[in-house]
Amino acid sequence: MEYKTELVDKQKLTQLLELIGDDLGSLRELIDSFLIDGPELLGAMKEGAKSLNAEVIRRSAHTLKSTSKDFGIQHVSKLSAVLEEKCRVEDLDKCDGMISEIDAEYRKGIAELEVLYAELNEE
Amino acid sequence: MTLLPSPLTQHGQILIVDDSQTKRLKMSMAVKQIGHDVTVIGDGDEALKLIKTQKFDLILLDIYMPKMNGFELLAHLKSDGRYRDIPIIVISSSEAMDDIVQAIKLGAEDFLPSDFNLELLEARLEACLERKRLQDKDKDTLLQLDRLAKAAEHLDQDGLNPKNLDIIDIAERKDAIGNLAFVFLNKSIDVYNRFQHSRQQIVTLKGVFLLLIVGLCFGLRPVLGNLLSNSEYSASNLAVLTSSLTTVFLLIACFISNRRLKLEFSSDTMKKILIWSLVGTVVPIYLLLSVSGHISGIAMSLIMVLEAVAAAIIAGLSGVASVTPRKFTGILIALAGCIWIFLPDLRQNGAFGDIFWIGLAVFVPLAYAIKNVMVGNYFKSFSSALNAQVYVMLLTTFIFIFVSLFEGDFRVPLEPVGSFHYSILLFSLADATAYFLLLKLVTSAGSVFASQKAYTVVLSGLLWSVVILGENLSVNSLPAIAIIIFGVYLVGQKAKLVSPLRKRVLAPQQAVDL
Repeated sequence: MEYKTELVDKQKLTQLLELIGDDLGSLRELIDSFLIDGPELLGAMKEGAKSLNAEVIRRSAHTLKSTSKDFGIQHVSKLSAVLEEKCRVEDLDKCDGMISEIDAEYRKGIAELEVLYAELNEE
Repeated sequence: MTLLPSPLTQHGQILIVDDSQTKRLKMSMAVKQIGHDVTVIGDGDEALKLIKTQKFDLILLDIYMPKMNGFELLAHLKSDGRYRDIPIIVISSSEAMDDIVQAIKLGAEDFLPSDFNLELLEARLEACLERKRLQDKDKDTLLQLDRLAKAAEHLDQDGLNPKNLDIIDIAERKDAIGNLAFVFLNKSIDVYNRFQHSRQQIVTLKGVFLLLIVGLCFGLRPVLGNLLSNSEYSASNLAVLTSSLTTVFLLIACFISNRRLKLEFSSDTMKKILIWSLVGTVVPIYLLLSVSGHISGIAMSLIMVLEAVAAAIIAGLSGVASVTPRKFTGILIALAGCIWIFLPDLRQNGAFGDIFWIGLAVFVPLAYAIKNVMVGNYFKSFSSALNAQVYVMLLTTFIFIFVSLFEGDFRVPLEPVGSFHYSILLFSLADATAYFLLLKLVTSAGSVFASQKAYTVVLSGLLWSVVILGENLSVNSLPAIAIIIFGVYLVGQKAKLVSPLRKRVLAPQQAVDL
């Protein structure tokens, strides 16, 4: 899937920063938490795909959808929403591929997120 | 109705339940921004355990969680009366309308989109907490109304202490219910005070009646003592005869009123009985019977007035009762009256008797006063005091037998029954009756009030002296007797039971706000 939008929506990230009181230290804490949560959720999705457990994939996709949206990582959020919906109707076709794509987008998104955080820190 | 300042705008205890650590962290940071206290937990099961041990004002609940999901936790909490009132806001994406509808059906108060902003979070939280506040206030009001209704049922119970109505905290409310509780409380204080006042009057009246009877009985003692001392029996011999008969009469009274005689006493009680016997019985009886032959019946009766004065002084010194200026004035007036009566007689060395015997006679009322204060302090119930009195008289009899044998002139009156025997019988019967009633008086109205028997004893002593002994009471003595009685009146006090309760006053700023 190709996206023309930027990897991380800077406006969303700014909204998140406002929500937590414009405290960059708290944002760092949140990013660090997401760095642990994200791979765990992706791991759970992969496990679910292996065991053909649509519910596990759906729940993980649901969580990743909303957390990545909070950080403005739009591609991951949108892909996760599609995957969640597929799993809701128990359509596991091409799930493996989607999970790999989400994983790749997550990595790119995280890299971009770190760049944006560094920029915010310099401002 | 004007609402109280909202306590939850300052602080609310918020529980966040979400399995995603990042989401928990984000929500907790946001909720803290608004000023609430936050507890986070990542599991429905654990949340349920925590809610059972800790109080929360609101729960922010994620729906999709492993193990127990949000719907299940919601259903659990809303089906349990203990937690039903905790408002729950479910967190869901705006698109998942089915989830939101199901959560609302299960009892959730509201929903919050997962991409919420601070304003929306604050608005939702405050709306829910405000509803909870109103709900809590209504619940509290209903509970207080229920307590008021229960208090109203007990309102007319005479002996009920208003403190036991348990509505004092309600009366502090600044609204119509608080005002109603004030009215209830004041009404119950009125009822209680009226009841206590009537009770006090009854006890005082009963006390005055008992004082009269005790006075008549004790008033006989100096007069009969005077008659008996003219016989050929020694004072200790007379004491054996009278105290043994008094013991028998008291024993009968004890069985009639208590139906039993307690046989076991602690060593402490035994010690008290021994002191009571020696100081309060042996000494005054022996002295009374010894001095009676040497001073007139009128003089002995007048000397007995000192019992009230001595009791007030002893009670004051021992801290049992305070010596007020009124009492002190009464003591001085009573003493002045005594001096007025005795002084001319002492100058003339005449009718009342020898100065030595008059001086010795003073120890009789003194010993009785010590006994009254002691009994009032040691024995709080009438039955225990009566029980002890029987043993006191028994012990007294044995002591007198020992003294009489020691003096070597103990005799049993075997002569034909005559006036001597009747005098002994009357003396003992009057003594037993007086002891019985005096104990009732001391244990019900207090030792200081009971010591006021002195003036009824004096009056009846004077009466009996004139009637039985045919002694003359000079007209000049009458004002002095009046002064003595007035002095003793000042020394005495009313039988006091319970201080009246003060009514509560509605503060001017406590306007009833509807």
